[in-house]
Amino acid sequence: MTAALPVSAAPANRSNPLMPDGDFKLELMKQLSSLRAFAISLVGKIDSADDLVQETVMKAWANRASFTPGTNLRAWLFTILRNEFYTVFRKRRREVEDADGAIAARVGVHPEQDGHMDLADMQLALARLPVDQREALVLVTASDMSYEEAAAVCGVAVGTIKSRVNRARAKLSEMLKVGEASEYGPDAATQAIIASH
Amino acid sequence: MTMTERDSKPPHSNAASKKTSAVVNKAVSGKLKAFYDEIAGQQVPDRLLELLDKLDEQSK
Repeated sequence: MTAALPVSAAPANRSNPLMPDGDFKLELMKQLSSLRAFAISLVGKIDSADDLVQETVMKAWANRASFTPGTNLRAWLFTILRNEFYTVFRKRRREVEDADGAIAARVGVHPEQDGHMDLADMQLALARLPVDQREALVLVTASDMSYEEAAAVCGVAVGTIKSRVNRARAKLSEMLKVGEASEYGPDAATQAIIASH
Repeated sequence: MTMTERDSKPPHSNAASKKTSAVVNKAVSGKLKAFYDEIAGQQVPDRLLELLDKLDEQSK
């Protein structure tokens, strides 16, 4: 369990004795795009996800004294984001869980990405996964975390993460019809591999 | 050839399912990764960058 969980501590807003504020700020800045990607995968809507990132940044800054320099800042930040999501954010925003249908109209696909239907499909499919499976799958498959790191971020056993990832993957492939000959299915090369076995 | 024909049917037949599931897992993971990378590649909104500047300023 690498990531310390500073969230329950009262915001101290003290500088980190081992890391000047300027350095912490720069390091945090580098993580903003992965924080956003994790938040959007988790929440399903860009505006709400950015609110969640904003709260995460404020929390992280207030608790920067408790970060251990040299350890995994991304996992530390993801832990805070996830905690914010469950303890504060999700309660306040009931619509976060309106996964079926309603979310479709507001999926965060920018106009210039209209051609990328896969993105909207993926967003919808993710929203339909149980949230514990969704986060496990995203952390391991998309954020490139090890099972161990993901387990630390989620505060569960490694085996739990593994089984959540497996179930999530199975559901997702069913929803996206991966493995069947459809427009969302594997490309010709993949189908050739399937056929040859 | 008969094997190939049978196994190229939708992957719910027993022999094929294990091998295809690995392929399917890879395909699903690839799609999710592409989705995630697309978002991670987007410009971070100014309000988040400005927030960090503000926090840093306030702490001085």
